[in-house]
Amino acid sequence: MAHAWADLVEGPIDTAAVLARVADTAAGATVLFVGTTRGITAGRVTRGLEYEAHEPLAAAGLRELAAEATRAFGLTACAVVHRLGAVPVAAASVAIATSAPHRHEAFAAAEWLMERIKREVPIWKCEEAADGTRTWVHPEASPAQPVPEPGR
Amino acid sequence: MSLFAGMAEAAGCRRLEVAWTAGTVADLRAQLARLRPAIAGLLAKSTIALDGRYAADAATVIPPVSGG
Repeated sequence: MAHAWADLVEGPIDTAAVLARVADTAAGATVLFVGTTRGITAGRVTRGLEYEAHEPLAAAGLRELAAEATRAFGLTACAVVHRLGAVPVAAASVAIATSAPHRHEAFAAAEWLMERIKREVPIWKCEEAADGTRTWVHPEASPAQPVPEPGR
Repeated sequence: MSLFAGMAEAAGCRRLEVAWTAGTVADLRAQLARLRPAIAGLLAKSTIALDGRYAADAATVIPPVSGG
C-alpha cells in the first residue's frame, strides 16, 4: 500500500530514517534527495541559514504535496522532512525520499516535490552573511535573489 | 494578524492588532499598509491566509516563500 509522510523538525535531519520510511518490497528504485545549506551564494559567503515556517500550514502543505506526488507518479512511498531554526553550512535543511517500482518515477517525483516545496510551502530562509548581516529571502520581492540555476 | 520572516522584520513585530470585522481582503491590506508603511512593498507580493485550513482565529500574512 502506497504511503506518504511529511514532517517539520527542529534538529538535524536523520536521512537514514527518512530513507527507511520509504522501504517497500514493491519498490525497485529508491531516491534520496538532500538539500544542504551552501556556504557561498552569488559570490557571497554565508555563515549559516535560519528557517522559519507557518508551521500548521507548512506541515499540511508538505503532507499534501507528498500525497499528491505519490498519486501522480505512482510511488510506492514518499517521505519529506524540512528542518526549521538555525542550520549550519553543509547541513541538511530538507530531505525527500521516494520509492517506486522503477527509477524514472522515483527521480522525477523527487525533483517535482522539491520544485513545489520551494514555490508553495510557507517556509522562509534568512541568510546570515560573513559580516553578520541577516537577510530574509522573499524571491519575487528581493532584487538580491540569485539567478535561478538552468532548468529551474 | 500574524507576521513571518521579512514581514515581521519590516514591521518590527510578529503580531499586529487590526480591527477588521467586515470588508474585503483588499481593505485589510490597505489597513495593514497604513498601520506599518514599511511593509507595504512586501505586502503587495504576499498572500493573506485566513482561518480555514488550520484552527486559528486570526489572519496571517504569507510573504513569498523560500524554503529548501
